[in-house]
Amino acid sequence: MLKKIKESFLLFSKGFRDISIRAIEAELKELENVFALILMGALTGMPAPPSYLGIKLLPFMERELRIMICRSEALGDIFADWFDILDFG
Amino acid sequence: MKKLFFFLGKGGVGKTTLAGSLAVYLSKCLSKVFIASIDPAHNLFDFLGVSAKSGPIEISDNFIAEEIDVDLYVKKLLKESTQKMKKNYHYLQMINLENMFDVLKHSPGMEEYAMLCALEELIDTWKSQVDYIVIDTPPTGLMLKIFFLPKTTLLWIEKLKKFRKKILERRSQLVHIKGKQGVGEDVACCEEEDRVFKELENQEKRSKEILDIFSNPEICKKILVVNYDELSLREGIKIINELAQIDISIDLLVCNKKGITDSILSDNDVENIVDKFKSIKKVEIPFYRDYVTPRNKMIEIGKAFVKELLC
Repeated sequence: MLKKIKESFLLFSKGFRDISIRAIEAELKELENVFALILMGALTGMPAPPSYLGIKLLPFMERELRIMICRSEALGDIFADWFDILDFG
Repeated sequence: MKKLFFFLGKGGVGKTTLAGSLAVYLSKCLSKVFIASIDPAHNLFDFLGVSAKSGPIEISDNFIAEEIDVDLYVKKLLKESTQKMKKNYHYLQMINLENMFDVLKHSPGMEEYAMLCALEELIDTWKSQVDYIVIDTPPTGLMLKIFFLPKTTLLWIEKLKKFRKKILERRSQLVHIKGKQGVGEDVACCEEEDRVFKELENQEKRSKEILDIFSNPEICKKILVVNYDELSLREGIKIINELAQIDISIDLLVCNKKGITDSILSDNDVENIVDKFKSIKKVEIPFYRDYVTPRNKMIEIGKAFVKELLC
Protein backbone atom coordinates (compact mmCIF):
# COMPACT_ATOMS: atom_id res chain seq x y z
CA MET A 1 0.00 0.00 0.00
CA LEU A 2 2.74 2.39 1.09
CA LYS A 3 4.70 1.48 -1.99
CA LYS A 4 1.70 2.34 -4.17
CA ILE A 5 1.25 5.72 -2.40
CA LYS A 6 4.97 6.43 -2.85
CA GLU A 7 4.73 5.51 -6.54
CA SER A 8 1.71 7.80 -6.96
CA PHE A 9 3.58 10.67 -5.29
CA LEU A 10 6.56 10.07 -7.52
CA LEU A 11 4.25 10.06 -10.52
CA PHE A 12 2.65 13.32 -9.41
CA SER A 13 6.07 14.79 -8.72
CA LYS A 14 7.31 13.80 -12.17
CA GLY A 15 4.16 15.23 -13.76
CA PHE A 16 4.58 18.59 -11.98
CA ARG A 17 8.26 18.61 -12.82
CA ASP A 18 7.48 18.04 -16.51
CA ILE A 19 4.92 20.84 -16.48
CA SER A 20 7.47 23.20 -14.83
CA ILE A 21 10.14 22.30 -17.38
CA ARG A 22 7.69 22.88 -20.24
CA ALA A 23 6.79 26.25 -18.73
CA ILE A 24 10.48 27.25 -18.56
CA GLU A 25 10.95 26.03 -22.15
CA ALA A 26 7.94 28.03 -23.29
CA GLU A 27 9.12 31.12 -21.40
CA LEU A 28 12.57 30.79 -22.96
CA LYS A 29 11.08 30.52 -26.45
CA GLU A 30 8.91 33.55 -25.78
CA LEU A 31 11.88 35.57 -24.50
CA GLU A 32 13.97 34.61 -27.53
CA ASN A 33 11.07 35.45 -29.83
CA VAL A 34 10.58 38.87 -28.23
CA PHE A 35 14.34 39.56 -28.29
CA ALA A 36 14.38 38.98 -32.06
CA LEU A 37 11.16 40.98 -32.47
CA ILE A 38 12.65 43.95 -30.60
CA LEU A 39 15.76 43.94 -32.75
CA MET A 40 13.70 43.66 -35.93
CA GLY A 41 11.25 46.25 -34.60
CA ALA A 42 12.06 48.75 -37.34
CA LEU A 43 10.67 46.27 -39.87
CA THR A 44 7.49 45.59 -37.91
CA GLY A 45 6.69 49.14 -36.85
CA MET A 46 7.55 48.75 -33.17
CA PRO A 47 9.87 51.01 -31.16
CA ALA A 48 13.26 49.65 -32.07
CA PRO A 49 16.92 50.10 -31.18
CA PRO A 50 19.10 51.82 -33.80
CA SER A 51 18.95 49.73 -36.99
CA TYR A 52 22.69 49.20 -37.06
CA LEU A 53 22.56 47.46 -33.68
CA GLY A 54 20.14 44.93 -35.16
CA ILE A 55 22.41 44.43 -38.16
CA LYS A 56 25.45 43.95 -35.91
CA LEU A 57 23.64 41.28 -33.88
CA LEU A 58 21.93 39.60 -36.83
CA PRO A 59 24.82 37.23 -37.67
CA PHE A 60 24.51 35.60 -34.24
CA MET A 61 20.74 35.34 -34.08
CA GLU A 62 19.79 32.42 -36.29
CA ARG A 63 18.16 30.51 -33.42
CA GLU A 64 16.11 33.51 -32.25
CA LEU A 65 14.99 34.34 -35.79
CA ARG A 66 13.91 30.76 -36.39
CA ILE A 67 11.91 30.83 -33.16
CA MET A 68 10.41 34.19 -34.12
CA ILE A 69 9.27 32.86 -37.50
CA CYS A 70 7.77 29.70 -35.90
CA ARG A 71 6.02 31.76 -33.25
CA SER A 72 4.56 34.16 -35.78
CA GLU A 73 3.22 31.21 -37.77
CA ALA A 74 1.46 29.92 -34.62
CA LEU A 75 0.09 33.33 -33.64
CA GLY A 76 -3.40 32.42 -34.87
CA ASP A 77 -3.70 29.75 -32.20
CA ILE A 78 -1.83 31.25 -29.28
CA PHE A 79 -4.37 30.14 -26.64
CA ALA A 80 -4.05 26.49 -27.70
CA ASP A 81 -0.34 26.89 -27.31
CA TRP A 82 -0.62 28.18 -23.76
CA PHE A 83 -3.33 25.70 -22.74
CA ASP A 84 -1.02 22.96 -23.94
CA ILE A 85 1.83 24.31 -21.79
CA LEU A 86 -0.36 24.62 -18.72
CA ASP A 87 -1.92 21.22 -19.44
CA PHE A 88 -5.54 22.38 -19.30
CA GLY A 89 -8.30 20.21 -20.74
CA MET B 1 45.60 65.33 -31.06
CA LYS B 2 45.21 68.52 -29.06
CA LYS B 3 41.71 69.51 -30.11
CA LEU B 4 38.77 68.34 -32.16
CA PHE B 5 36.49 71.03 -33.61
CA PHE B 6 32.89 70.55 -34.72
CA PHE B 7 31.12 73.27 -36.69
CA LEU B 8 27.37 73.19 -36.17
CA GLY B 9 24.52 75.29 -37.48
CA LYS B 10 21.73 75.71 -39.95
CA GLY B 11 22.40 74.96 -43.61
CA GLY B 12 24.01 77.87 -45.46
CA VAL B 13 25.28 79.85 -42.44
CA GLY B 14 28.92 79.33 -43.43
CA LYS B 15 30.08 76.22 -41.54
CA THR B 16 32.31 75.04 -44.37
CA THR B 17 33.84 78.49 -44.86
CA LEU B 18 34.64 78.83 -41.15
CA ALA B 19 35.84 75.24 -40.72
CA GLY B 20 38.06 75.53 -43.79
CA SER B 21 39.40 78.92 -42.65
CA LEU B 22 40.23 77.64 -39.18
CA ALA B 23 42.02 74.60 -40.62
CA VAL B 24 44.02 76.73 -43.08
CA TYR B 25 44.96 79.25 -40.38
CA LEU B 26 46.08 76.54 -37.94
CA SER B 27 48.17 74.85 -40.63
CA LYS B 28 49.81 78.20 -41.45
CA CYS B 29 50.72 78.43 -37.75
CA LEU B 30 52.76 75.24 -38.34
CA SER B 31 50.31 72.91 -36.63
CA LYS B 32 49.43 69.67 -38.37
CA VAL B 33 45.74 69.77 -39.27
CA PHE B 34 43.25 67.30 -40.68
CA ILE B 35 39.89 68.56 -41.90
CA ALA B 36 37.01 66.32 -42.88
CA SER B 37 33.54 66.96 -44.17
CA ILE B 38 30.88 64.44 -43.17
CA ASP B 39 28.11 66.39 -44.86
CA PRO B 40 26.63 64.16 -47.61
CA ALA B 41 26.31 67.33 -49.72
CA HIS B 42 30.02 68.16 -49.57
CA ASN B 43 31.55 71.41 -50.70
CA LEU B 44 34.72 71.47 -48.63
CA PHE B 45 36.98 70.78 -51.61
CA ASP B 46 35.15 73.44 -53.62
CA PHE B 47 35.85 75.94 -50.86
CA LEU B 48 39.49 74.91 -50.56
CA GLY B 49 39.80 75.10 -54.32
CA VAL B 50 40.97 71.53 -54.89
CA SER B 51 39.43 68.97 -57.21
CA ALA B 52 37.28 66.28 -55.62
CA LYS B 53 38.90 62.93 -54.97
CA SER B 54 38.10 60.04 -52.67
CA GLY B 55 40.27 59.56 -49.60
CA PRO B 56 42.49 62.06 -47.79
CA ILE B 57 44.28 64.69 -49.88
CA GLU B 58 47.52 66.29 -48.70
CA ILE B 59 47.03 69.95 -49.51
CA SER B 60 50.31 71.03 -47.94
CA ASP B 61 52.93 69.42 -45.68
CA ASN B 62 50.84 69.85 -42.58
CA PHE B 63 47.34 70.14 -44.01
CA ILE B 64 45.21 67.16 -45.01
CA ALA B 65 41.59 67.26 -46.13
CA GLU B 66 38.97 64.60 -46.85
CA GLU B 67 35.36 64.49 -47.95
CA ILE B 68 33.93 61.37 -46.35
CA ASP B 69 31.85 59.03 -48.51
CA VAL B 70 29.07 58.13 -46.07
CA ASP B 71 27.51 55.45 -48.31
CA LEU B 72 30.75 53.53 -48.17
CA TYR B 73 30.29 52.95 -44.43
CA VAL B 74 26.73 51.63 -44.86
CA LYS B 75 27.98 49.25 -47.56
CA LYS B 76 30.87 48.20 -45.32
CA LEU B 77 28.54 47.38 -42.40
CA LEU B 78 26.18 45.36 -44.60
CA LYS B 79 29.05 43.51 -46.24
CA GLU B 80 30.58 42.59 -42.89
CA SER B 81 27.23 41.37 -41.58
CA THR B 82 26.51 39.33 -44.72
CA GLN B 83 29.90 37.65 -44.47
CA LYS B 84 29.37 36.79 -40.81
CA MET B 85 25.88 35.50 -41.58
CA LYS B 86 27.19 33.26 -44.35
CA LYS B 87 29.62 31.82 -41.84
CA ASN B 88 27.16 31.38 -38.98
CA TYR B 89 23.80 30.62 -40.56
CA HIS B 90 22.59 27.39 -42.06
CA TYR B 91 22.44 27.53 -45.84
CA LEU B 92 18.66 27.55 -46.24
CA GLN B 93 18.13 30.26 -43.62
CA MET B 94 20.74 32.38 -45.38
CA ILE B 95 18.87 32.31 -48.69
CA ASN B 96 15.78 33.81 -47.09
CA LEU B 97 17.58 36.41 -45.03
CA GLU B 98 19.98 37.88 -47.54
CA ASN B 99 17.20 39.83 -49.27
CA MET B 100 16.53 41.66 -46.02
CA PHE B 101 19.61 43.82 -46.59
CA ASP B 102 17.97 45.58 -49.52
CA VAL B 103 15.41 46.89 -47.04
CA LEU B 104 17.81 47.41 -44.15
CA LYS B 105 20.19 49.70 -45.98
CA HIS B 106 17.36 52.23 -46.30
CA SER B 107 16.27 51.83 -42.68
CA PRO B 108 15.95 54.95 -40.56
CA GLY B 109 19.16 55.66 -38.71
CA MET B 110 21.58 54.06 -41.15
CA GLU B 111 22.90 57.42 -42.38
CA GLU B 112 23.64 58.64 -38.84
CA TYR B 113 25.32 55.36 -38.06
CA ALA B 114 27.50 55.61 -41.17
CA MET B 115 28.53 59.14 -40.19
CA LEU B 116 29.29 58.10 -36.64
CA CYS B 117 31.42 55.23 -37.95
CA ALA B 118 33.21 57.66 -40.25
CA LEU B 119 33.86 59.98 -37.30
CA GLU B 120 35.12 57.14 -35.12
CA GLU B 121 37.42 55.91 -37.86
CA LEU B 122 38.85 59.29 -38.76
CA ILE B 123 39.45 60.27 -35.13
CA ASP B 124 41.12 56.93 -34.54
CA THR B 125 43.28 57.23 -37.67
CA TRP B 126 44.35 60.85 -37.28
CA LYS B 127 44.53 61.47 -33.54
CA SER B 128 48.12 60.31 -33.31
CA GLN B 129 49.21 62.00 -36.56
CA VAL B 130 47.87 65.56 -36.29
CA ASP B 131 47.50 68.36 -33.76
CA TYR B 132 43.99 69.41 -34.73
CA ILE B 133 41.03 67.69 -36.34
CA VAL B 134 38.34 69.95 -37.82
CA ILE B 135 34.94 68.49 -38.73
CA ASP B 136 32.56 70.20 -41.11
CA THR B 137 29.18 68.75 -40.26
CA PRO B 138 25.85 68.33 -42.05
CA PRO B 139 23.04 70.77 -41.13
CA THR B 140 21.40 70.66 -37.69
CA GLY B 141 18.87 67.80 -37.92
CA LEU B 142 21.31 65.16 -39.03
CA MET B 143 24.16 66.35 -36.83
CA LEU B 144 22.00 66.30 -33.71
CA LYS B 145 21.04 62.72 -34.51
CA ILE B 146 24.74 61.84 -34.75
CA PHE B 147 25.42 63.38 -31.34
CA PHE B 148 22.42 61.57 -29.84
CA LEU B 149 23.12 58.17 -31.40
CA PRO B 150 25.73 56.91 -28.87
CA LYS B 151 23.50 57.91 -25.95
CA THR B 152 20.40 56.28 -27.50
CA THR B 153 22.43 53.19 -28.31
CA LEU B 154 23.66 52.96 -24.71
CA LEU B 155 20.10 53.16 -23.37
CA TRP B 156 19.00 50.35 -25.69
CA ILE B 157 22.04 48.23 -24.93
CA GLU B 158 21.39 48.50 -21.21
CA LYS B 159 17.85 47.12 -21.70
CA LEU B 160 18.92 44.50 -24.24
CA LYS B 161 21.68 43.23 -21.95
CA LYS B 162 19.17 42.76 -19.12
CA PHE B 163 16.86 40.92 -21.50
CA ARG B 164 19.67 38.75 -22.78
CA LYS B 165 20.76 37.87 -19.25
CA LYS B 166 17.24 36.60 -18.57
CA ILE B 167 17.40 34.41 -21.70
CA LEU B 168 20.78 33.02 -20.66
CA GLU B 169 19.47 32.38 -17.15
CA ARG B 170 16.54 30.31 -18.50
CA ARG B 171 18.83 28.41 -20.85
CA SER B 172 21.19 27.55 -18.02
CA GLN B 173 18.24 26.38 -15.87
CA LEU B 174 17.22 24.02 -18.66
CA VAL B 175 20.76 22.74 -19.07
CA HIS B 176 20.89 22.14 -15.33
CA ILE B 177 17.69 20.06 -15.48
CA LYS B 178 17.95 18.31 -18.84
CA GLY B 179 21.59 18.58 -19.77
CA LYS B 180 23.00 20.30 -22.87
CA GLN B 181 20.43 18.66 -25.17
CA GLY B 182 17.77 20.64 -23.27
CA VAL B 183 18.62 23.75 -25.31
CA GLY B 184 20.82 22.37 -28.08
CA GLU B 185 24.50 21.53 -28.28
CA ASP B 186 25.75 24.81 -29.80
CA VAL B 187 23.52 27.13 -27.80
CA ALA B 188 25.31 29.47 -25.38
CA CYS B 189 24.12 29.49 -21.78
CA CYS B 190 26.40 32.05 -20.15
CA GLU B 191 27.53 35.60 -20.92
CA GLU B 192 31.09 34.53 -21.75
CA GLU B 193 29.92 32.08 -24.44
CA ASP B 194 27.09 34.13 -25.89
CA ARG B 195 28.13 36.00 -29.02
CA VAL B 196 25.06 38.23 -28.92
CA PHE B 197 25.97 39.35 -25.41
CA LYS B 198 29.59 39.88 -26.43
CA GLU B 199 28.54 41.98 -29.42
CA LEU B 200 26.29 44.06 -27.15
CA GLU B 201 29.26 44.67 -24.84
CA ASN B 202 31.45 45.53 -27.80
CA GLN B 203 28.92 48.08 -29.08
CA GLU B 204 28.52 49.44 -25.56
CA LYS B 205 32.27 50.05 -25.35
CA ARG B 206 32.33 51.81 -28.74
CA SER B 207 29.38 54.03 -27.86
CA LYS B 208 30.92 55.00 -24.51
CA GLU B 209 34.23 55.86 -26.16
CA ILE B 210 32.68 58.17 -28.75
CA LEU B 211 30.36 59.75 -26.17
CA ASP B 212 33.39 60.42 -23.96
CA ILE B 213 35.06 62.24 -26.84
CA PHE B 214 31.91 64.27 -27.63
CA SER B 215 31.45 65.36 -24.04
CA ASN B 216 35.09 66.06 -23.20
CA PRO B 217 35.24 69.89 -23.03
CA GLU B 218 39.05 69.94 -23.07
CA ILE B 219 39.42 68.07 -26.35
CA CYS B 220 36.17 68.47 -28.22
CA LYS B 221 35.12 72.03 -29.08
CA LYS B 222 31.71 72.70 -30.55
CA ILE B 223 31.38 75.91 -32.57
CA LEU B 224 27.89 77.10 -33.33
CA VAL B 225 27.66 79.18 -36.48
CA VAL B 226 24.72 81.57 -36.91
CA ASN B 227 23.85 84.50 -39.13
CA TYR B 228 21.96 87.57 -38.00
CA ASP B 229 18.67 86.25 -39.25
CA GLU B 230 15.83 84.97 -37.17
CA LEU B 231 15.71 81.41 -38.52
CA SER B 232 19.39 80.61 -38.05
CA LEU B 233 19.34 82.17 -34.56
CA ARG B 234 16.27 80.19 -33.54
CA GLU B 235 17.88 77.02 -34.87
CA GLY B 236 21.00 77.91 -32.90
CA ILE B 237 18.97 78.00 -29.70
CA LYS B 238 17.42 74.66 -30.60
CA ILE B 239 20.91 73.16 -31.03
CA ILE B 240 22.03 74.50 -27.63
CA ASN B 241 18.91 73.15 -25.88
CA GLU B 242 19.05 69.76 -27.58
CA LEU B 243 22.74 69.22 -26.85
CA ALA B 244 22.21 70.24 -23.22
CA GLN B 245 20.01 67.14 -22.86
CA ILE B 246 23.10 64.99 -23.33
CA ASP B 247 25.37 67.32 -21.33
CA ILE B 248 27.15 68.73 -24.36
CA SER B 249 27.70 72.47 -24.40
CA ILE B 250 28.62 74.95 -27.12
CA ASP B 251 32.10 76.45 -26.68
CA LEU B 252 31.93 79.32 -29.13
CA LEU B 253 29.25 81.21 -31.00
CA VAL B 254 30.36 82.59 -34.34
CA CYS B 255 28.02 85.20 -35.79
CA ASN B 256 28.92 84.99 -39.44
CA LYS B 257 28.24 87.42 -42.27
CA LYS B 258 27.75 90.40 -39.96
CA GLY B 259 26.47 93.38 -41.92
CA ILE B 260 24.79 91.39 -44.67
CA THR B 261 21.83 93.71 -44.01
CA ASP B 262 21.91 96.94 -42.04
CA SER B 263 18.52 96.88 -40.44
CA ILE B 264 18.24 93.37 -39.06
CA LEU B 265 19.26 94.06 -35.45
CA SER B 266 16.59 96.69 -35.02
CA ASP B 267 14.05 93.90 -35.06
CA ASN B 268 13.09 93.29 -31.41
CA ASP B 269 12.55 89.57 -31.89
CA VAL B 270 16.07 89.07 -33.18
CA GLU B 271 17.56 91.14 -30.40
CA ASN B 272 15.70 89.00 -27.86
CA ILE B 273 17.05 85.84 -29.44
CA VAL B 274 20.61 87.21 -29.43
CA ASP B 275 20.19 87.88 -25.68
CA LYS B 276 19.71 84.14 -25.13
CA PHE B 277 23.27 83.49 -26.32
CA LYS B 278 24.77 85.84 -23.73
CA SER B 279 26.45 83.12 -21.66
CA ILE B 280 28.47 81.82 -24.64
CA LYS B 281 31.69 83.38 -25.92
CA LYS B 282 30.92 85.21 -29.15
CA VAL B 283 32.94 86.18 -32.21
CA GLU B 284 31.65 88.16 -35.17
CA ILE B 285 32.85 87.62 -38.73
CA PRO B 286 31.99 90.34 -41.23
CA PHE B 287 30.20 89.78 -44.50
CA TYR B 288 32.72 90.16 -47.30
CA ARG B 289 30.71 91.96 -49.92
CA ASP B 290 33.42 91.85 -52.57
CA TYR B 291 33.81 88.07 -52.58
CA VAL B 292 31.43 85.35 -53.72
CA THR B 293 33.55 82.85 -51.76
CA PRO B 294 35.94 84.54 -49.32
CA ARG B 295 38.74 82.09 -50.15
CA ASN B 296 41.53 84.66 -49.91
CA LYS B 297 40.21 85.81 -46.53
CA MET B 298 40.69 82.37 -44.96
CA ILE B 299 43.64 83.36 -42.78
CA GLU B 300 41.85 86.51 -41.63
CA ILE B 301 38.66 84.59 -40.79
CA GLY B 302 40.52 81.75 -39.02
CA LYS B 303 42.59 84.20 -37.02
CA ALA B 304 39.46 86.05 -35.91
CA PHE B 305 38.16 83.21 -33.81
CA VAL B 306 41.05 80.83 -33.16
CA LYS B 307 42.15 82.78 -30.09
CA GLU B 308 38.77 82.35 -28.39
CA LEU B 309 38.83 78.65 -29.17
CA LEU B 310 42.30 77.81 -27.96
CA CYS B 311 42.47 79.93 -24.83
